[in-house]
Amino acid sequence: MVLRITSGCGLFLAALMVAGSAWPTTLPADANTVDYSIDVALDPEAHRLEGVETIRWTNRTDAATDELFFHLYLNAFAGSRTTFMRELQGRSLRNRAESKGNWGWIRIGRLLLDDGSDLRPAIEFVRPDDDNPNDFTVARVALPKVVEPGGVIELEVEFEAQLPRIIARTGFVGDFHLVGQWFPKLAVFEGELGWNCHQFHAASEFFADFGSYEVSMTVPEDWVVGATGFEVRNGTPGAGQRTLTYRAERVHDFAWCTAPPDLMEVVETDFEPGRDVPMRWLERARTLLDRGAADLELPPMRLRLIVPREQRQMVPRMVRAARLSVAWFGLFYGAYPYPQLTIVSPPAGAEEAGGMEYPNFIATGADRLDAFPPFSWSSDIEALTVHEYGHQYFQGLLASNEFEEGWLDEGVTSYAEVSCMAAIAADRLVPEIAAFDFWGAERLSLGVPRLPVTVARKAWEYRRQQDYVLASYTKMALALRTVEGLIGPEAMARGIRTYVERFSFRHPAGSDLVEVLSETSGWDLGPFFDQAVYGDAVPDWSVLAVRHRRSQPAEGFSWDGEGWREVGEGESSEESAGDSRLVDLQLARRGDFVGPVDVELRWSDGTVERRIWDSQTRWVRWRLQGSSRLEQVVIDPDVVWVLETNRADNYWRDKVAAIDHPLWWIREGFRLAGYMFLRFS
Amino acid sequence: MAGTPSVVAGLRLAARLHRLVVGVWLVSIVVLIPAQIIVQVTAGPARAHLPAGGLGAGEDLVVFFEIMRPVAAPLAVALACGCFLVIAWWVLWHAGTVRWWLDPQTEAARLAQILGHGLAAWWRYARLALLALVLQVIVATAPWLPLLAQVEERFLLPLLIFGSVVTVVATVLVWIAALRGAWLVGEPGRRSAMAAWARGMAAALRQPVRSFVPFIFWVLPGLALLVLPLFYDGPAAAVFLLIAWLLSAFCWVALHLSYAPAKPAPARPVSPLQPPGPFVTTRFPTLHDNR
Repeated sequence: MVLRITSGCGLFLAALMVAGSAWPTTLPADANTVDYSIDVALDPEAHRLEGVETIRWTNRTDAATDELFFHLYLNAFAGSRTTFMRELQGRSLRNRAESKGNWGWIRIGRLLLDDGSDLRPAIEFVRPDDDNPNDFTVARVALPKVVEPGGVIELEVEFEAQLPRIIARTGFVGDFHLVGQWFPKLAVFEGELGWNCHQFHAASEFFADFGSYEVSMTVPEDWVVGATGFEVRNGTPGAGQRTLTYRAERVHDFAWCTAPPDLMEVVETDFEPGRDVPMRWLERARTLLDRGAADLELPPMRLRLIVPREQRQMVPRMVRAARLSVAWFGLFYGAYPYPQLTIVSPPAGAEEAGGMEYPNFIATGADRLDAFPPFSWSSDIEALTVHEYGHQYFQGLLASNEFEEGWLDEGVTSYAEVSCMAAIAADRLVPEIAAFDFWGAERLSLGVPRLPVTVARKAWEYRRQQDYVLASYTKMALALRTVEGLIGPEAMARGIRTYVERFSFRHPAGSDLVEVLSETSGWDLGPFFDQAVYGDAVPDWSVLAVRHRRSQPAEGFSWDGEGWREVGEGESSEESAGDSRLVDLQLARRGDFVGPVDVELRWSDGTVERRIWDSQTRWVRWRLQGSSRLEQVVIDPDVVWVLETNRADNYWRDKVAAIDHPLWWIREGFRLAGYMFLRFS
Repeated sequence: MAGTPSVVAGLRLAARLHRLVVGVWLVSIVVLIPAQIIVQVTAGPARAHLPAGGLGAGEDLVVFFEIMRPVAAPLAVALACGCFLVIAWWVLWHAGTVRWWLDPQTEAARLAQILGHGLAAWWRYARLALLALVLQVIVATAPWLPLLAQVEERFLLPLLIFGSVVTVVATVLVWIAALRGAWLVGEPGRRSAMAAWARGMAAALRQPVRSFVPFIFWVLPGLALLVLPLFYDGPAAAVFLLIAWLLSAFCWVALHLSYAPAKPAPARPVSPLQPPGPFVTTRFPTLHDNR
């Protein structure tokens, strides 16, 4: 069943068909490196796929190669001793049921080169990351000929794939199928560096080249289908089955889902900029980016939601979240260059599939109780939608290497997500959600670990799964927030926008982000990222001591250029009396993070003074002189350094506060509990 | 011997047992002292230097989390011990007041005597309290179990409303039954906490309105006086807190005593010349009869 939210949907689709022929021309001409044409049929009883694909690969580097590397990532779920399963350590990614016994795998039945030579005997499994002999997620194929720079080869692959019971990103539960990482896919050839191909890990998903996909999916006749790209053909049903063809341009992966109509339903709606862009956001974007309205104009796009019937009540909220996401990212990071986005909310039992991004296709998540207070006060639906949509940019468009720099897309996406959620909350665009400080929540999360966390690691090299999440999502987002505080929101907005524009449909690295932000802000941000991201330096400043004393009259002798004279001789009585106070202020850098920090000094006569300490040394002593007492010292008063988690000693005041409320800690404990509920409910 | 619950009787008796009220109040403060010391010693100095106008949104919780984290474990232990002590103390004074009231020979409301009574029956009352706590957990959980199964969307809202109402009503019933059962388990020869609770429930169902009114009358202000001062940050917050908690203690004592039955009359002195009862009262002839 299809719910229609806008009556003009049909008209809109017609407009898209017209626009569809035009939009790819705006994309870089050399973006397509690998094109796939796949015919696949799903056996819904056995949860098995049988497919034939044609791969056309263009060597766009300056080096030749005589081998190919394939991702066979469904084999990550082939048994308990694969690298993925070992890294999972018997747990699930989303704290949901395990796929016990329902293993998934993929097998290549036939592999032919365009000249007809059979490459199947040349397939060998390799384990570039950990030498695990039980991992079969990467296959190397030796070619009988060399592919020169600019050369093109075409392959025909027959494959069979068994979906696992849903685990993390892909699989089935009952009749619901989310089909991701499901076909033999080429890795990325980096020229002289060779093929960049990693095994499938618990904490990473993608690194692949852009290309076009045309995928024909044969499913039971009345089943609902959602996929990357948009539908171009809907075949005539026959024998209880039908074949739908989807096409996607300039994407680096293809995922789809299907389920019977009594379980899931489709909601067709759209993003209409005139209706869905909050005016305050438009003004903010114009101010921060210093661009005219024409530059910020967004195209309409089609939104397709596939939701379980049990979550029907949440559909308006999901649609609103999707529209706000499209508006935010479009305004600040550039228009979404595809005509359609499909959003899937997995049904009960399939939560493992939620919170996942594929090109043009995201899996979010909701619970039927989210429609009712107090669960409805939580911002989970919005935050998840905003985050996964953010990945359409940071990984979808800017296809960084998620295995080697997972923090790059997750961190920038988290930064964008929290910024967007903070704006949604500040502008009360989702009245249901309770007042909540989203950045505060991130800061609380960073306060939990007892060991400093290094962000820049390969996805499988973190000590624990929690460390990966904390580093790649939370710490990286807070690092970017700190950068925003240091260079200013305007420079930050322009920097990220430039990063997106410059590296869309490419494979940026972390150094590219640093370079762009430094370039647009005029700051050398290298040292900051070296400490915050590539190192594990911890920012921590404190007020060490403040001492007041009345200045004494000057005594003794001083040299006046001609001879020694007694101090006080020839001076007015005020000068010699020293009618002022001396303040000895000592600040310390307890952490190993070196960076500039603001210090605010409040004096008893009401004056407020700001100074900057570069904190190059471990401590600094400032001798201040004035006629009034120093009443208060605050290091980093604007909370720029949100990476700092030891902030209680950043404050000092002359008159120590009397006990305001004896049981203040119980009250704050209640507040913290409420905060945690909203964060994690 | 289930009496008729009365708010007025609870009020009078609580006023009469003012020393007990003060005891309940003092213990509620004393149990917090270890936790308070931990917090003040470790977090107090840092907190004293925070800006006078308070911290910005988000910053206050981050700083709170930061200064409390090092003492989380000892604080949790101190609070857990405090909870245990409060429960033990409440069981004690509930038991004591019941046995004091039901003893026809005692009139003076001496705290030591009440607690002495309570000590002797403590375990019996602890069983009753434990039973009520277990039942509380059950009634707070059971109505929500259907949510674990697949429920059709149209039934979801009715189910949530039903669950909320049942949880609240069942909670009230459990504790009314426990309060009434507390007076029944004090009767001579009664030892089973479960039987007493069941009889308390029967009495509550027999007199639903009369049972319900004192509960609401005392519990709502008792809770409000306990919790709201925590969020009052104005001048003399500490004094306000102490007064409010004293009044709250009065509410709790009055709540319990509202369910007290009529005090048994003391037995008349028995003459050594009279044979042991049963006695037959004989009406003597009067002058009037002689007319």
